Amino acid sequence: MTFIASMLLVMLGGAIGAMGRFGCQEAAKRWTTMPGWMAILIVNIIGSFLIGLSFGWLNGLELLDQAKHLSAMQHFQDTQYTNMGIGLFIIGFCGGYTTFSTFSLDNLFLLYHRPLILGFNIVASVILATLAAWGGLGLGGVLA
Amino acid sequence: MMRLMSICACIAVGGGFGALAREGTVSLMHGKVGLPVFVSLGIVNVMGSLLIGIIFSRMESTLKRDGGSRLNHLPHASRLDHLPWWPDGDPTLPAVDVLRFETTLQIGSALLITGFLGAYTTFSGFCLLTVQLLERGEVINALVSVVGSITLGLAAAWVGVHLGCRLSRRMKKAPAA
Repeated sequence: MTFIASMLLVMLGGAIGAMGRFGCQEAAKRWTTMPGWMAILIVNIIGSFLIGLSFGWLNGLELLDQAKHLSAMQHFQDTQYTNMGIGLFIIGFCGGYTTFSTFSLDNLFLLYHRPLILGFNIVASVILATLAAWGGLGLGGVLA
Repeated sequence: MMRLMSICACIAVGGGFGALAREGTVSLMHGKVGLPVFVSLGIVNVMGSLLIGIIFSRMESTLKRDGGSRLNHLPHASRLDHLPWWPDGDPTLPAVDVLRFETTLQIGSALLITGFLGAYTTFSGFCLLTVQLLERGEVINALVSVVGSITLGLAAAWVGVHLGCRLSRRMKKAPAA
């Protein structure tokens, strides 16, 4: 049961995440004048923050469990919930929400026309998204 | 409305299978082959960039017929100059053909590019991995992961667009079946 269930959870999370990314891209195209790469940059930063938050939160819960010396049955159940959360939120939703392939394709277009913006895009993506993941990790650990 | 709903359904199906394929690839590379996680995620991201280049240029060069293709902004498009602009060389039903091609392009890019490849590759997992590597003090591995993924991803997208354009040219040269 668990293998099929975790597969389904990953698929569900990936589907919701991909639709969320499409919604953000379309909203940016319709209501703002920002170029496509900036929408992907914002999506990637938000997704990195969310992955840090959920990972820190789930990790913090697990540490709490270990500190409380739960019974074997309850520990098993809690581990199951943690694994389900990892499959649904981290691998599924956050992984599907953010994208690397569109980022690479946008970089290719920027390379030929706006090399300066290419540099800005790469540096901003890496630094801001890593900082967002780090901040989310800290915040999630505090929340748990 | 109907079109938006079908596009959303295609993205959901593609996204589900993309996330599943990423998890499968990473667990295969990490668990069975024994590569470190950051190498397997890097392989997934670079492979996705290569595929997005191929699929994007293949679809844009064969299906985008109104001249507004984003491919025209790339030097690769010079390989496609001799391709006929008019679909199938039949000027009697252009509007129907253009509409059909547009619909195929929208559905195909929703299913394959936004859905499958967008969910197959991930930026958030990559950042989380970088943070974990930095916290464990493996600065060299983190640097290799970041610089390698981004450089190889860009190179893979270039190679993919090149391959897609060549593929379209070869397909067009063959006699129509």
